[in-house]
Amino acid sequence: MNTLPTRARAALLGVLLAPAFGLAGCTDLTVDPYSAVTPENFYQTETEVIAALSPVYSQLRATLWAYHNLSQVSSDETIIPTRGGDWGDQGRWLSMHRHSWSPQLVDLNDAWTASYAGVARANSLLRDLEPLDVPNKDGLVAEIRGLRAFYYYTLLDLFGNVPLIGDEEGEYSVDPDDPPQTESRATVFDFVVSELEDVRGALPVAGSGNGGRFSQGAADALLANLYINAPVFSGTVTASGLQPGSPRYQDAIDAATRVINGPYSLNQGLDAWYGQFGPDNQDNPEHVFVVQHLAEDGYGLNFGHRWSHYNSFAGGGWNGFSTIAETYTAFDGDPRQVIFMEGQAYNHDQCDPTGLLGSECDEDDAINNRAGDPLIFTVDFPNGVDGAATEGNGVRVNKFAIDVNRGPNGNHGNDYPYFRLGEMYLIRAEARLRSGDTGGAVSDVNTLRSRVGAADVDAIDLDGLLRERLYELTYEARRRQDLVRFGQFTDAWSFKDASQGYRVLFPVPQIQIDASDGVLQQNPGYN
Amino acid sequence: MRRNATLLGLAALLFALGSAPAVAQSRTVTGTVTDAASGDPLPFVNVTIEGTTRGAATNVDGEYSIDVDGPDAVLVYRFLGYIETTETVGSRSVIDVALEEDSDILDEVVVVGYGTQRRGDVTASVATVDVDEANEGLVTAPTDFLEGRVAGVNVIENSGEPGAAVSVQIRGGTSITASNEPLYVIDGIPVSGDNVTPGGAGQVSGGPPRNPLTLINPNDIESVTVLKDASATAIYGSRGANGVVLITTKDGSEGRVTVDYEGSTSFSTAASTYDVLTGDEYRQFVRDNFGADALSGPDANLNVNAFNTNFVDEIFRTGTTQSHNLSFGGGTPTTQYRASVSYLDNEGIVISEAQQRVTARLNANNQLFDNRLRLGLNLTSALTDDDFVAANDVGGFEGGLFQNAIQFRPIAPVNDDSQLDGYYEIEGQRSFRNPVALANQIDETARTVRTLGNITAELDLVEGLTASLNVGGDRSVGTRRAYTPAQSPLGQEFATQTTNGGSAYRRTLERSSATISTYLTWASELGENLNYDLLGGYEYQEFNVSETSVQTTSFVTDFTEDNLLQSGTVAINANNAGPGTFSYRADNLLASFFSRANVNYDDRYFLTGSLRYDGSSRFSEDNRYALFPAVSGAWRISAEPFFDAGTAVTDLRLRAGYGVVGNQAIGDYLFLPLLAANPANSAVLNGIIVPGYAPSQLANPDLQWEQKEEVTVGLDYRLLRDRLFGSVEFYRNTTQDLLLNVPVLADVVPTQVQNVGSLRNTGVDLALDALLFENDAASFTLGLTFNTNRNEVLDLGGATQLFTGNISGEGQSGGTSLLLTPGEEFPIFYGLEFTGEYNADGEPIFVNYDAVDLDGDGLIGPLERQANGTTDAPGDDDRVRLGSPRPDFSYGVRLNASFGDFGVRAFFRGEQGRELFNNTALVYGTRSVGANRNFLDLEYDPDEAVVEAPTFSSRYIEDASFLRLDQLTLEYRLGQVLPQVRNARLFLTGNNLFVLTPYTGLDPEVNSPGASANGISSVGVDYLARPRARTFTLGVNLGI
Repeated sequence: MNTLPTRARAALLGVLLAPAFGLAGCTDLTVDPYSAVTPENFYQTETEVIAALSPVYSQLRATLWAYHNLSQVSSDETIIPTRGGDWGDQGRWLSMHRHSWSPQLVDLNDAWTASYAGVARANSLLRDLEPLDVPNKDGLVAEIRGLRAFYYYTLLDLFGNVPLIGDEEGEYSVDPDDPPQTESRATVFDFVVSELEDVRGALPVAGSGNGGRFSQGAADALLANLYINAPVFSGTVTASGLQPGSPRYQDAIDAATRVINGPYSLNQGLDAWYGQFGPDNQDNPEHVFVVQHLAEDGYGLNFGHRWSHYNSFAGGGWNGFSTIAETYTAFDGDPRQVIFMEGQAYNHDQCDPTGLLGSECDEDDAINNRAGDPLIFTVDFPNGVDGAATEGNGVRVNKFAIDVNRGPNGNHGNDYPYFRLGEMYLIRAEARLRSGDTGGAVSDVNTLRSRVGAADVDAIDLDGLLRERLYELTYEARRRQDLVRFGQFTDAWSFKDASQGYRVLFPVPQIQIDASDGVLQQNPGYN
Repeated sequence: MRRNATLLGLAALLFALGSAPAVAQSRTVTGTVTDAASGDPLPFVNVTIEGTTRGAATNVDGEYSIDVDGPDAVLVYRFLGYIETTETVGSRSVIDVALEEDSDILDEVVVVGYGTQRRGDVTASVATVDVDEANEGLVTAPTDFLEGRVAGVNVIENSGEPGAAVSVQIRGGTSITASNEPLYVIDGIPVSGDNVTPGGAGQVSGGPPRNPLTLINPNDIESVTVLKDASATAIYGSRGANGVVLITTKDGSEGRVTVDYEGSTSFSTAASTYDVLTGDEYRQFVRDNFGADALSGPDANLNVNAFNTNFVDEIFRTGTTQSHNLSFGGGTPTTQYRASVSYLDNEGIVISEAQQRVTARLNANNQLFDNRLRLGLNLTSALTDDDFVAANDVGGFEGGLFQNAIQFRPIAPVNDDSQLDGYYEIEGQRSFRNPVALANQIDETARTVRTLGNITAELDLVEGLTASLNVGGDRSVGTRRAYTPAQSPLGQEFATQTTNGGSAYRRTLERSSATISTYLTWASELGENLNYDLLGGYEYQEFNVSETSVQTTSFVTDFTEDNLLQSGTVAINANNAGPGTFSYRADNLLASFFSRANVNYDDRYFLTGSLRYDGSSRFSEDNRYALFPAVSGAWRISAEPFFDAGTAVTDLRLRAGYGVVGNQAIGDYLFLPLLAANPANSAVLNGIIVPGYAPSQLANPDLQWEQKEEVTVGLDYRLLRDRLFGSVEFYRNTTQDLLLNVPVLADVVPTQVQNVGSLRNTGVDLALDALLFENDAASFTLGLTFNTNRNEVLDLGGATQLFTGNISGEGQSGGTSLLLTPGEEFPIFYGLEFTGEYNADGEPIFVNYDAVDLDGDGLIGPLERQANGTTDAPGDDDRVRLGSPRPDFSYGVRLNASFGDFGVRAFFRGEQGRELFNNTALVYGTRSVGANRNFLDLEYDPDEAVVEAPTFSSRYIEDASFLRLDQLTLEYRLGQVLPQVRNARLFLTGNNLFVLTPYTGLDPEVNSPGASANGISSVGVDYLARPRARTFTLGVNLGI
């Protein structure tokens, strides 16, 4: 049997193994993903640098979901009732309205990650640019820092006490082994203000929203907002509520005045006022800092879908966002009440219910609900908001009018002005009023009233000013800030009881506290 | 007899053409070959003269006649399934031979990784499937063979759609985010289990992934072996964590040409369907709750006309399936071949859906140099045509077919001639759609071609030393096309002021892989009773995928369908998934060295060790390679001299094994920083889109394999002269370094894949086969499999809770039903506990829980709750454990009875102690507040008040234990009905004849594919599941 001695067989085995394993040359498993781009081969021309800016700007659109919803739905401007099962969503929207949210609320994490992604994108671009020599580098760096300050502003507004990344020299990202600590809200406020004051000089002076890019006007408008909110933003929140910080009224007046004296102008007339929110509002002279949109999938604004009924236009809306009765009726007598859709609903592809942007609606344009009955938007919710609300319950806010040329999946072309000139007059009026200059305040308020055809007022108090802000700024994510600043945020209103004082700040999302291994601190009251 | 002679002549012609003419001294030997056990004559036995190519075959009476040269001639008798026997002629002229059936199961050859082993030598946990028994009735893919037939293998249908993927789990889920599907190895080539048919066009079409194994015609399968434990699968290293299924296809065998035909026709119906209100009930419901005039507007007319349409019934039908398989094979002593074609036309039980499949296969073998070089070819190709319906019910608002079948008002008719395309739709209404229209209007099809082939060569270098080479290729191209006409309600969503709407979509997915493996085997002995064999080899695999999708919308006319995509508006989707326009390609590479040693001492002590060193391009350079060792041993107690149990114990073996295996079934490039270009990264500046690239993934150079360690202890027994045999196995496997998507703090992306956490499965597998009764006329056998598995999350990398099990349906977004938390099963149902009571406003009352630090560790886990009264305004703290979707145990029972020419086979399957979340009842069993939609009959009681928003709670967690009669076959073996016919058989099979279950949904064995959330696989969620079919198949087997 064994014709070869063992030793020889073993040798043969070795010889034979060698070629078999010779194929084993293929042990290099390096693969390159086909779409890799590295900073070194990218930032060569200004076009490429602007392309690199694009993701820092694109994140602004992301803030118009969770940041905007948390600001709107936690105020008395917006309620999302549960209609049957529709919009029940595990109580998410009603907990927002009723101030019964927990740190698990998904929208909190969505808002947090959207804003921090903006911060992180800005930081990584700053890091990439640092060693490079590119055209107009100072202006670019100022622009990126300005945007980063805006993202921190949204975090400061919602969560207050948050970690800062990029506030120290050479810090561009989170070190996972040494997670950043929670900074106090006052520290975050100081950082945002100092960044904006620092960069504003290097930013371009440009009007009409500057094509969506950050300008000196944007920095000043943001500063005006920060200063008017200084008592809140630099204050502290304890389990019992807000302990205000120092006011900065003169700074607010100065910053607002710089914008008012800048290359912007107010839209005159109710139609022009309403048109600045409509689908054709690009490069509007009143807009200071704008998130531009296009009527294309992934690039549009979905405000028009949030409120509208399934039958409101081809494809249909989501039939969610509504307004409570007292907010709607607070507009009685003010021309700006046109933003509300009340009574018979119409097909927005066929007409414009306001008559301001298109032909007025008649009975041929009326639409039905899904049962086939006429769809009537009612002021009241006779069956409550916990599941028994009907399809027609609730007045709707159509401030950002439906875009008949919208793209698929709820992408309307309306640009969104985060800051516009109108608010600057109101900030200045409030700062003047709070500093005792009632005459100046009345003048600023009347400037805005007269342009929409509302009668002048002879006098104004803080309640009146808050009402003016409601008329002018509804659905522009200011109401929560305003109610907090005016001490009314935790009051009771329709379908909401009075809430605890600490609710003026949202809790830090539980996911983020877990991700920091417990380094981040929860806001008071939520533990 | 004349016919027999003709047949014999033909057979002889085919394999003995080359026979030398008989020489002068020759004489003739005749004889009869019989079955040693029964004494029956055996036809078609090959009788050859050793050392020549001359031969003959026995006739139907077992008789043969052969000319031999002289007394030294040696006759060799060969017949499949019998032990080869030789006879030296000597002076005899009549030689009768009784062939022994090759029934020693210990000598049976079992396919293991990179080779075969004698069953008796196997030391690891290896199970084989009785393919002949499993392949009954409507079997469309080899995965059907595994269901309930192998202890510890769990198969879940994600959809009953023809050709849809099933989920196969061996010994519990071992990974949370990576795949839990086993590795499939076909004829020695590890194949990709990735989907080869592109996904759907979004909106409501689409549906779940396709089953990649439909490539293989079940009738071409010779054997299916399941490697269950790590000591068996470690030879597949980084892909062995979820078990390995080895499929070997049928080869031709030496002898005359045999031709086999199998044909069947099946009739399938839905075993159960959704019970909705009739038109009359619905009218009464609306009048009672919304007033007599509630049916106003367009419905007023419907009220008068009093339609009673059951839209659920309208979308189901009796599906007819035809299956034809034709194969032929044969060969000479040195060349054998087998070729087959199959055709399957599966209509499906839902209108407007179907699958057609044609497969072809050629296997050929050649032996050269006195059988020292053995060459083999396996080549198969499958063409699959799918016709889909809009059945994607995985969420969405308007939903797909089943949602609309439930919701569409039963007071409406199906057809309306006054409307453009003849279907009734509610005027001005887009959010409920006529389901019949939905099924018929959307034209969505796919064509997939997959070709798999490999060439093998084995060369015996010296005695005992064999070199093997296996080179394989696998290539598939799948194209899906969909058109949603503008005139359909769905197509109208794309209407603009200048177009009518509509959506056209084409998507092409190409995959290819190449494999080369080379190995040497060395078998020898070290002394009298010590045998050993060694295996060493190398394998390299390359996988490529590329996909292109184009979608355009908003057409002026439906005339062109998807033929002029350029006439629409391009829809972009940069997420490489779903609808829209995108493209991507990716590669991954695997290089491996493997070795194995088997030692057998005296057929009493067995030891096997294996080692695989695997490299994968899916990990960074530092973590690219890993070592996967395994060792197992067996002790054949019954062979010990001291062991004497008489005839009661034929064989008794104790086995134990340990192994480490990996899981690399994750995405490509996960360790690299990646940039993505999509709308989320592109700003609109100055009114134009500025294309932007932003990080879509953080670099993680530490990313490495998930590793699973497993220990198995087993006992194999054969009792009472082999009338009772089986095994008992205990196992425990622990997966470490689980790949999880972990939130990261304040970075460019919110999460990152990291290796954290661990998971454990502990369980027992039992298998038992028993011959209960046997005599000349009848026999009765019983087969049992049983598995109990306990699965536990040990660690989630510091996280105390991860959620999955998305709740689907209107108003349910953001909700989850399943929780992963350390110390509990993966996963458990988690939610509110319903008391069964309502408050005065008709709102449900739940048990109120307080979050309490029960274990005193300073943290409050998701299960640390103390009951404290009740509440009608529950919060997050009121959520508790509601059950587990994993069974306490599962079992399969096979009964096999034979009475003369008749046979009866039954196969029962069951699982006990598992729960299911009836998401369908949650959304559609709760009466809506509007008078606009139908709902399930479950909750209907006209006397009760209406209002209740659907809230996920314990009331929708149901006991889903079940016992199913999976298969019942009656057969009549006609045998040689005609002289030309080798065998013939008629059969009638019923599949899924009944299921006993307390579950109130359609079927207790489902999982909604849309329920996975946060990258974590989901199990046990039933949302608009497609009913399982009940199928009757009438068929015939014919062999000539």
